[in-house]
Amino acid sequence: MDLEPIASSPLNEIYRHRGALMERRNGWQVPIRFSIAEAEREAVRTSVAMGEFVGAGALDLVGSELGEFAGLMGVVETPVGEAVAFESVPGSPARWLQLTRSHARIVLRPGAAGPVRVALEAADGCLHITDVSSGLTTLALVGPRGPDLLARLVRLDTDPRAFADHRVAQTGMIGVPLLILRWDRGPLLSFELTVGRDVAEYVVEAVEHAGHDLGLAWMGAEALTRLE
Amino acid sequence: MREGDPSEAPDAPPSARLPGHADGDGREITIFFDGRPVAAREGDSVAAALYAAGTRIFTRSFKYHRPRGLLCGAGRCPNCLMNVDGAPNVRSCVTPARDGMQVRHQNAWPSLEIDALAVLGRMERLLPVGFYYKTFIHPRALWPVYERILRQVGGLGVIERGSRPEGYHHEYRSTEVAVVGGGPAGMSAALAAAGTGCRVTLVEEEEALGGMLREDPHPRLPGGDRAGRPGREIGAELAAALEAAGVTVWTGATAVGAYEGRQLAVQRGRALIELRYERLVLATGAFERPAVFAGNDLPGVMLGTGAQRLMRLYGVRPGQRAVVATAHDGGLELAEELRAAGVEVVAVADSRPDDAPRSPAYQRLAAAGVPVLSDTGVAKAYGGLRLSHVAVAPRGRSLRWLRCDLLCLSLGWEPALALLSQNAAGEPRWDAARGIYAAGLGDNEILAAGSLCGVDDLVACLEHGEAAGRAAARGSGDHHGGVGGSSIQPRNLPSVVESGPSSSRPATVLIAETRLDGRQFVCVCEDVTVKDITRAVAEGFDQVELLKRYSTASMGPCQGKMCRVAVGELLAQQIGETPAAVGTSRARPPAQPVTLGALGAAHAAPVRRTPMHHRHGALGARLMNLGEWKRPEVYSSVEEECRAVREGVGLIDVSTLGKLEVVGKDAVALLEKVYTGRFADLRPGRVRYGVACDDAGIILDDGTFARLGPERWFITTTSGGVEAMDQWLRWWSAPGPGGSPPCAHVTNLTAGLAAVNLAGPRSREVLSRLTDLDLSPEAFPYLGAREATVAAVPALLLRIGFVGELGYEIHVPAEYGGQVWDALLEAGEESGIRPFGVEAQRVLRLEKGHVIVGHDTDALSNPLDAGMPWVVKWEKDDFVGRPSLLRLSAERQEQEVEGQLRLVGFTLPGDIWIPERSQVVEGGQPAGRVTSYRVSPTLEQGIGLAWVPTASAVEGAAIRIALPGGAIEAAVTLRPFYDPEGFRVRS
Repeated sequence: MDLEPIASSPLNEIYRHRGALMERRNGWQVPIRFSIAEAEREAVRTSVAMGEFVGAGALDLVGSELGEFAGLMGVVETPVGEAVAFESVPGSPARWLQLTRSHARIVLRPGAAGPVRVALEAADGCLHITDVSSGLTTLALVGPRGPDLLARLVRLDTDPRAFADHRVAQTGMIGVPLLILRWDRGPLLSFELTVGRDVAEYVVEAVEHAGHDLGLAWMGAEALTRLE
Repeated sequence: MREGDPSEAPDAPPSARLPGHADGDGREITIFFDGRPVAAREGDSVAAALYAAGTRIFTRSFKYHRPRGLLCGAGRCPNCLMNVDGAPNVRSCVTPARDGMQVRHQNAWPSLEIDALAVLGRMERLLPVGFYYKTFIHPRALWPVYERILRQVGGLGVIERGSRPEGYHHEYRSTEVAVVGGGPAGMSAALAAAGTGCRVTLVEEEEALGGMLREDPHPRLPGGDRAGRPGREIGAELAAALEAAGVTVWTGATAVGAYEGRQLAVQRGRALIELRYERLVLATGAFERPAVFAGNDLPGVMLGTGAQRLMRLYGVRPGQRAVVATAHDGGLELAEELRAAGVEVVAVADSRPDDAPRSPAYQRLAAAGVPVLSDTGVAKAYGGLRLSHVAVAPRGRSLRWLRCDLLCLSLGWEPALALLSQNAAGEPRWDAARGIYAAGLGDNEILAAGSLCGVDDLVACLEHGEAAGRAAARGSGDHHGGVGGSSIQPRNLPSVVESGPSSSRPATVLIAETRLDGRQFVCVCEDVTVKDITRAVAEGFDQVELLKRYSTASMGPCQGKMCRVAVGELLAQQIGETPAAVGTSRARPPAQPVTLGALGAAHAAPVRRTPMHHRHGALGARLMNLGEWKRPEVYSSVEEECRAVREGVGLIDVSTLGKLEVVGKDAVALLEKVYTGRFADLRPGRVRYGVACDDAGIILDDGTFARLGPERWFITTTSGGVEAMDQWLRWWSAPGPGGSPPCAHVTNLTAGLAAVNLAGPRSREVLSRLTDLDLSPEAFPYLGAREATVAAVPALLLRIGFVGELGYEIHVPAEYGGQVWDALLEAGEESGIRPFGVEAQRVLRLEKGHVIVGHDTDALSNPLDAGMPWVVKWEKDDFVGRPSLLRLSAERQEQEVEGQLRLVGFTLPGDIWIPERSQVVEGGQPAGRVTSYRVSPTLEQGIGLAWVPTASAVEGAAIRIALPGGAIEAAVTLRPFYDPEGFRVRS
């Protein structure tokens, strides 16, 4: 068998219709740009831009010994509903999202989930790790009008005064489960929306519809990378 | 009406704008009224622009098509509803004019001036109150005809068919303190709350803040920094302070409902906003109320505040010759203001007695030669298309007729209670001192302030608002002052019925004491007259809520704002009671009209797509909705697809299957507890079928269980059952009281795995081209589970088959689903592979007699009666539903239970088609039902599943199935229709 797997985002068809320039990165088809880079930057500065973290890794950790394990991983004690940055393995930046007392999610860069999972599986006790990367799609909404856009989609109070930076919440969005994280990029207001892969197209279509009069624009991987 | 009477002319001459008005002086713009250009100014309302251009008739009434002109001028009555830019029933008096705006009249044909349906006004006798309960009901068959005519004749605006205005949407916002009303009390409340650090949102219906201050050119405060400054300056100062304080201000936003759960519905532009709050301050103010007298609906009869708004906000002179009817000094001040605007004030009819104290305004009017007629009320307004003169009735003296084109009613104020009373703990109560209904007290989440509480002095309003804002802030959380919410009670604040400052605006008589001939309208929305109310009460509808429903008074667009008090007063007069005794009808949402487009904007119907979704479209599949999923129903023809699976190889997307991972050392115990089958003895690498029941032994779901390791399980569920089973498993894996949590964790992998079923006698040869796994029956037997790569993608393969052929269920990471699908189709090309859809799958599974949970079973089905007793393992000590199933089993063995049904297969000869859900009948009576039926292309006969009486559940028994042409006979079978021994699936 001489096949090389190419991973596809559930949004590839949408990217094709939006005229994205696609490129292969880390085994994934990734939208690099949707328009000229300046237009994407302008949306980020003045309204709101949407982009997908194509291929992002996600590991779910569940178990009563989660706290001890977090300590071993070098994760500072994190209250439920908050997120922190850490290094899952040296040199590999990651985020720890404390969803409940016994449930956390580690969010990783593309391709990092496998090695990290192997490292974590060495842990003893009743702590279980499941790679849930394939089932999730994560979108970034970056720009000052992000809360206005979210107000049309999410009942949760995402006003920046109420939903502080690095807050995370499990809620609903237009009828589907949603994990929302606020993770600002410097002065830029930024929300990350994680939904099931099976509803990703539905969610994106709804976001596009809700945001068309707010100046919503797509941004590709180039723009997203620059924001990091 | 005399020939040549000016009141026959529908319009007045255009009036020059008054200098120096508040919001006007903007650039000139043009709007179009019925296609005719009308000059307007930026800042005008649509109605103000039209009024300035001479328009006096703005709409025709609901029932009698009477001409109607501006009445309140503040968005509270129905008299200015128009079609604006295609949207019907827009309140033109509060809608800002914009350049190029297209305004059209509604509810009149061919024009507002000449309306053919005005003939209905002469048919009053045929259209008495409640006529629709008595007429148009026989013969019943004609109702569709009646309905069409009635809908043409009655009603208000018309929604243009096919139009889909864009931009309507819902929003969800939150705040700590919400304030409704941008007048002095509301602004003061918002400022006070914001000063404590609260997040505050202020909702104001008008396009600018200020309320009465916005219009008020007079000095209002007796002392302090603001003394001697016009009200509008004070309002502007407060508005600026709000911005500085970071208050979120929504102008042009209408609060339409206050709901339980601390939710306020607000329409703002094309958005319907669900505003969640911790504390709500209502400062909705008060409005002038009209009076009931003959001809009171003529264009030219206007509330005093309506005239003031025209003058103050838009610089429009409201008339040439005016009569002012009043009951308080405010009416006298209005007369002065009219005079200052160049309106000739013919007289002031003051209902107060001769010996009432004379105010300075009275002295000034008298000095100017304006007759102020004390102890005098309006008896009748005369005119054709607009007002020509009025008759006033001094008490005990003869009538006087006064020629005028404007009658201003400045008779008293009514709190805008709608929102408060929607949430009030008690019914609105009659306040005899003021002649108003006051809301019952709300709960401690809602506070009232300002004129809503009968406070009308500016200083008091500001203080009152400030107190309410502070109290709201204290109650909105533990970080804004430290006083718990329980201490916040409306009782702490002045209210109409409690300790509020007394109003300087006294009550007045609403119903004319001198009644002359002519229609006296009580409810202008629904064209309900005094005569209608009288007749309805005489017919026995003498309770206020019943009277409302029968007469429809207060059921129109204004929701009773213009008539609630008058209806109560009339009812009280009729039955010899007091208004307090009769009460008033309850205000309900919406408090103000809300656009249907905004209400209907929400459209949250999730759509789930499999990773191969777009491949199916490219292959020409017809898609169907199965729950939230989109699935291919058929690609080419069901027969061809079935044949491919039976004779060659087929491929179906089964990604919609629920997929759960259960891990942990207690995973086996959890499965043994939740499912009826045995799992402890299942070896890794093997698969088993299982069923879950609830406590009553009812089938919840079914699926397959693959043991991938000692503590790792992969479970499939039905497509629609995965969320429920996920929750059910989590429920049973929760620790009991005082117990430690079991080590078993459930993860829903449904969206993360693409799945296909490669089925058919040639499936092995196709799969062998894409994997290195040994696929021989010995190495990978039926009910085996293997982890390998397929098309270079890591995969889980299960040797199972829903369709009864050699088959492989292949699960791969969703991101590779499309690639694996393509690879399988390509690899199978030389083997004649075909994709098959849900319909072919249903036929094939039915040939095998497989049950679809939720389709062949329902909320009463248990495994014993569903023909699956073998899934229940009695040797287990405990599992969910065991006691119930044990009891059912014992009952079945002891005796035949009446009405007990069993699920069996049946056959019909040839190609007879019957609908699913057909009834099984015995002796002509319903005895069971068909759940599945198809004509099998393989077996060339009709096959189905049906619930039949136990006595008929034997091999070869005959059952009768009811069809429209008569019952037909079918033969029962308890064996699968196809390959009953299961040789093919094991091959």
